[in-house]
Amino acid sequence: MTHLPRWTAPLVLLLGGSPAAFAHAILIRSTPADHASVHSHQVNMTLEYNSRIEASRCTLTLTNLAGKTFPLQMERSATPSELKAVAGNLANGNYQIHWQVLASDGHITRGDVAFTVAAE
Amino acid sequence: MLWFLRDYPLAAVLLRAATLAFNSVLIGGIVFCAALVPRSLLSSVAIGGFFPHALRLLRIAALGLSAAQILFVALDSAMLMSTGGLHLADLVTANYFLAGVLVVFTTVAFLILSRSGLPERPRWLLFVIPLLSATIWTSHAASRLEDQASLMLLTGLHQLAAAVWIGGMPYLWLLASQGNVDVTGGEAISDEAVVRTVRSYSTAAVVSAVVLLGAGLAMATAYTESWSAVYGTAYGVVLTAKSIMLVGLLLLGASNFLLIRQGRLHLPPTLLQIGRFSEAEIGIGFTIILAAASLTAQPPAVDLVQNRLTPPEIAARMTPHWPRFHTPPVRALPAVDSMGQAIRLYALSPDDARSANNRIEQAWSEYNHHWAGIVVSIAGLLAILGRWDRARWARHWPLAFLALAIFLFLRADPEAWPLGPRGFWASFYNPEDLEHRLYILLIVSFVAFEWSVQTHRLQSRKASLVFPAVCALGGALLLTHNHSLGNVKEELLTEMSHTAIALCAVFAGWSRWLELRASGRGKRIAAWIWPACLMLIGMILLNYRES
Repeated sequence: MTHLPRWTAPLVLLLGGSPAAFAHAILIRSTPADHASVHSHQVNMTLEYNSRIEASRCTLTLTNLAGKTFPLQMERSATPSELKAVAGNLANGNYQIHWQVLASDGHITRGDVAFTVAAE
Repeated sequence: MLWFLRDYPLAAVLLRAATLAFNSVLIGGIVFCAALVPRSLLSSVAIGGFFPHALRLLRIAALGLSAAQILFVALDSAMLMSTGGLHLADLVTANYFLAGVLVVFTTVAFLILSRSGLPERPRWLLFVIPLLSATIWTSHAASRLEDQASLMLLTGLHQLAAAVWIGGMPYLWLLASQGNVDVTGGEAISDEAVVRTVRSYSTAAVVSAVVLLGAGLAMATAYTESWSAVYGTAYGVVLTAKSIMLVGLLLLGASNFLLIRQGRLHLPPTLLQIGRFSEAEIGIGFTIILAAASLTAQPPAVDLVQNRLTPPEIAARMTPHWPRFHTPPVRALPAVDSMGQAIRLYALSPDDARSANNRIEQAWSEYNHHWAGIVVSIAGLLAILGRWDRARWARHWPLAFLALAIFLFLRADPEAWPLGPRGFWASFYNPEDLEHRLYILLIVSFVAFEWSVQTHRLQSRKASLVFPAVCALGGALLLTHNHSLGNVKEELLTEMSHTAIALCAVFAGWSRWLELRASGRGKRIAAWIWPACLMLIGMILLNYRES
């Protein structure tokens, strides 16, 4: 909780307080969309950003409901602002894609996309 | 390094600010020395006295730039290696790495070559090319999907102009404050080489200001595209703050321009006055560079299409309301976490630990802000009243801040002594409480300085500059303390009042500085600006709301 006037914030910073998060490359759309349901055990993933990214230095990992995390092998994309990957044999349940991208201007950003596999 | 990795966003923006600032001082200095000092007057005594100081500043800037780049490359690499599973070999061809290597190589070459010669020859201008290229390479423009080439060109022009104008100011100040008086003719006149260099800089500064404004306007249009992006996003808020400071800088620049064109530049007091104005120009100029660094760490407003604030939402928050003079009782506040739990919560997420205010806590917090607003407004009013001899008692206005420090000590941490169950010393184990106690101590110390200065108990010139320096630095840092990720509206509304307070603090600090350092009309005008800024801060606090 905070009960201090805003004008004292610079003093907090002078004394080493930390600010809110910054961002540069941001996710503008994804397949699957955040909190979407996928009706297949194989999931094609596409993450599209607002700026050019250095794909070979970006990472995608997938976490299942049990909390087990495994890296996703990325596919080559013709678009300089896009990451692509495929995950096969996914059991029904909730998953989370964790992404970390390096934008061409050197800024690193991270985020998550949650989805559910609900195949027949 | 652990601190760096944990606070990557803050570290990245501070290193970017250091890079932009040192780069500007280095490029501005090279252009100043190699292109603006008349070649035919290099043997002048004043220029001879100026060059060693200029060279020292250039070398400090080169060292600082090199260090900032090494740290930034190390930070990014450590982050990618520790969280992305990459190896150093995977990173050496990344844009940020190559740009960093180019800058370090250039600055090291500059440091070696400048050991044996002064940077007065035009060939030194060649250093500007790699320095500028590296900055463009790691700018927003380089990562854009559309209009990349034209935006990179505009970025280059904008940064070169900023370096010549703002980066050249410290050299103007050095030149104006050198031993530049020739008394051989019986009358004290300024050295001819100094006068001609100042005129050359003035012309270069005017051209740079025009280029900077033109390129800046074109980039602002490309990165925002609409007014709703200007008033509705964090990017737009910082861009607006940067523009307001630029207007202040242009006004100061215009004052200097008029002084230079009045034709009395040969008179030493004119040069002295130019030097004094330059101090405030340097301060505001580098605050603008800090704001620019915080802009580069955000997505451009044009990319943030969701959760933008609308005019009715802004108007609803900004509409004046009667301040809250009724506090909820301390017993109505949520139960106090155990000390161990509070420390754990803070360690996991300092922001969450700070922002989980419920309605009772909001009322408590707004009451604190509103009383703070009254105290700051009264301090500003008394600072104006104290100018009249009949109201000499009003010169004790800094003591109002002392009352505020006591008020904050009592109410900022209601869970700690004397209001809460946590003991006075035990609360020091909680980082948040400790942080609050430390900056209350900082308030008390600057009150002590300014009160002693106002009441003439302290005559030292340096002591008198403590208050304006803390005020201006605090405002500058507050400008970096912002940016709601994804434009959460509530955070953005808070950031608006935050930014307004930061601007007032920057202008208050530098106008008080000018009042103390300048003379004539500039001093008289500055003397009215800073108390007005204090009163404005008070008004903003009085209208502060959390919902």
